[in-house]
Amino acid sequence: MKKQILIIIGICVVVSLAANFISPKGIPLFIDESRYEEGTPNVNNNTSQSNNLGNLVANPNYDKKLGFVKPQNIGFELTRQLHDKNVLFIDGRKKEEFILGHIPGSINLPYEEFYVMPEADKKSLLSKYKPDDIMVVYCGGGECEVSIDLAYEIAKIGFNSTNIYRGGYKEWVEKGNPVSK
Amino acid sequence: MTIFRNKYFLLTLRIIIGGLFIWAAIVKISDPKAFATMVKGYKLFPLWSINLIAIILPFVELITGLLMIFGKWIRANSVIISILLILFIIGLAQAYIRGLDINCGCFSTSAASTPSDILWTIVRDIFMLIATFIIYIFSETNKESIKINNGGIKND
Repeated sequence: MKKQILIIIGICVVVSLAANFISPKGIPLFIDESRYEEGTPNVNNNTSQSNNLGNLVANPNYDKKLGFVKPQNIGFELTRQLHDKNVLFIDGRKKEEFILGHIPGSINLPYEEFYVMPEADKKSLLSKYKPDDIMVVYCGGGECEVSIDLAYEIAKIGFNSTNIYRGGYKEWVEKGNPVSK
Repeated sequence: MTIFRNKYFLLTLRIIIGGLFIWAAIVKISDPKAFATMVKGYKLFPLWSINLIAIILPFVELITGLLMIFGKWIRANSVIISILLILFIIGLAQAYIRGLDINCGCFSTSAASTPSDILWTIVRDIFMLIATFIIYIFSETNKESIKINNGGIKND
């Protein structure tokens, strides 16, 4: 029986890897772990010296391996400053959560709906914005990781200044900031 | 206990378990990325293993489900299915105990969304586990007893 179990498992592994390789919906074998690391949020020391938006976020670093500019984590202070400067805020949560309350001025781009779209649709959805426009992506906060995945999806289609506000809507509210409904 | 030995009863159980596994597998195979996000939500496995689990697990479900229905290697298959179900129950139970919000909009579509849904899913998995035990215990014995009755040599 042990042999049969091993054969079944072996077949499953081979078939699944082959299917994943062929399938257009296939995913990479290993997740990009670095994107989920908290890291040190970019607190940006230059903000007091300059009001220039370009100086608010660090210079984008094109990642040759990834083939796009990696999104970066930003902390609350920088998020608030960017919000004051009317930077585009993108809420990655579901529509039902978005209408209950969101950061004022933000647009809703539910990750679940966005990532399944063909690339052309993703691009046309964001066609209003220029590749170098600064964007802040957030979700519920706490354990929420949709903002990270969404920021990477947006970066992949050619946006060079995507930022992830890891504190999310939760921290935004806790710090007593205004919300829209 | 005779009902457990009834081949139609066992066949029905096998079709139910196999069918549920195939159905669950197809849902996952059709959207591996969403499933990977869901696996991550359970916070049970290291990050490097998430995609591998999301790729391989649905096919384990699919193939064991098919083998279950077609009645090939039933006992070996029952062992794999039981292990999977036990892992599912552990995963769900720890999510419930830790109060993980596995459908906070933080993660993709999840079969278990609210705490009561998680409990219901655990109960369903326990019933499936019991059914699989019954299949394991009575399937092969049934075959063997037929062989013995027919004067055949008992194998294994």
